[in-house]
Amino acid sequence: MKRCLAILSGLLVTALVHAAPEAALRASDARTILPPANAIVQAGYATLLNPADRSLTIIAIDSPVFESADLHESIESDGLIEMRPALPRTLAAGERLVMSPGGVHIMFRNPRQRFHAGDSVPVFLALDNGTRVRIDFVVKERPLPRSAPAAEAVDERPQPYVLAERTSAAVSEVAARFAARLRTAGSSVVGRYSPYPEAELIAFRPHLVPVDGGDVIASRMRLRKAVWHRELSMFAFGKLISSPGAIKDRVAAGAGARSKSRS
Amino acid sequence: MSGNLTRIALLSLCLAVVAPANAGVNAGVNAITLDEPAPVGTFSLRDHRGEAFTQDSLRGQWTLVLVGYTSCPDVCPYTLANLQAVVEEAGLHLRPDDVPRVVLLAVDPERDAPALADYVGHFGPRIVGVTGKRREIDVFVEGVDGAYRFGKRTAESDHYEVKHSATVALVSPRGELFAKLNPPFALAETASYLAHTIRRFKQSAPQ
Repeated sequence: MKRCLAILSGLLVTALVHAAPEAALRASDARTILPPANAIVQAGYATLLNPADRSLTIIAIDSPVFESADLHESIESDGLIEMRPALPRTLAAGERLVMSPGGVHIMFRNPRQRFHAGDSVPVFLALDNGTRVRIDFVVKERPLPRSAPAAEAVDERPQPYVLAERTSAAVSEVAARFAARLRTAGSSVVGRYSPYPEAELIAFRPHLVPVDGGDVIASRMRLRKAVWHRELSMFAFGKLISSPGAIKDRVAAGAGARSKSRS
Repeated sequence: MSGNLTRIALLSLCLAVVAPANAGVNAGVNAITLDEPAPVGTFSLRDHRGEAFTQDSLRGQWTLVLVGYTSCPDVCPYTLANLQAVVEEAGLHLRPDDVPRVVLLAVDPERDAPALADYVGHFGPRIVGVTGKRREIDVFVEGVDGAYRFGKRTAESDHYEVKHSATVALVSPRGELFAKLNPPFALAETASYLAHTIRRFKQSAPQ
């Protein structure tokens, strides 16, 4: 369908392209990275700028040297990386779209020829105003990774691996703060309960969790618990627990125990 | 119980001493070290050269395991190139036999098996591509606390994508999941984290 649109809009507006002296869309740093031999996909990156004072929308992308081209965005969600289709993509007036590895990119599929570094690949972007913009992507070797600048390298988020913490604050307050820290550190908090007075247990997944639309994908995930130790006034991290079911059962059992003790 | 508490007390004491040193080393690295390394399970796969690859193949050296697939245009190549650079950098601080190797655990065997050798060879000579039967793949994936899920084939083509873990697992020479690294894998910081972790492991457990 997208390809049909691309071709259709291409046919409709060939004349308009010649009529419009101003480029509808400016592109810079357009490159595609030389993939491994026989790869069926490869990524392209560019910086696009909408110089106009009104928004424009990219509705389709195609290239004569690939079977298909799509705008994608690599997104991390619940610990899984996936590529989401990113078309149509609207650029507001003056907006710049910087594509980069691990983010927005063009996915080219099934090359019709072999490429070499330095080759130029024509790519066409079909816009909603009927224009069809040609961008030439340069084929490049994969760049060598470099260290990020020091300023960007400092990660001030709390490290998730805290073994224990001493405090004299109220238990519930500490537990809430602790749960927030776990979340900030990338863990997901499954539940909290108080197995006995002045004790709090936070059940959490230490790592990113493979769930999709509410379905747990893995059959077993390792989970951990943080237990408030009254005697020591601190949290301690417990052993791995083997399944989401087990942790849910424990949380449920704990909640039941608490409601019983209160009644 | 009292034994546990003693241990916890000791750990917190250690933390007080170690934390300042760690803070410098781990700046820019989002790593989760398991407090109890977990065995990766029992599986039988093949590497990109056709050799058997089992849990025993992990013994005797450090391994970084990335869950991915070869028809992945953006993230997998980017991560593999980064990891290759990271282990090269870590190699400056470690004895050669302590330098981790990189394993791409390819979870899409139908498309990965024929492409694997070309794919991993593109990123570095020491990168190992591993794939095999679904059940065996799943054991190793679970062993490194990873996950993946196949996307739907679109109506207009038979192409499909695969969602996969963002993290990279660090497996110890004992074949146990030791730590998990979250992206981004900043080059110098990740390399020094690895060098530090591996040296400390050797000091605490001389082999």
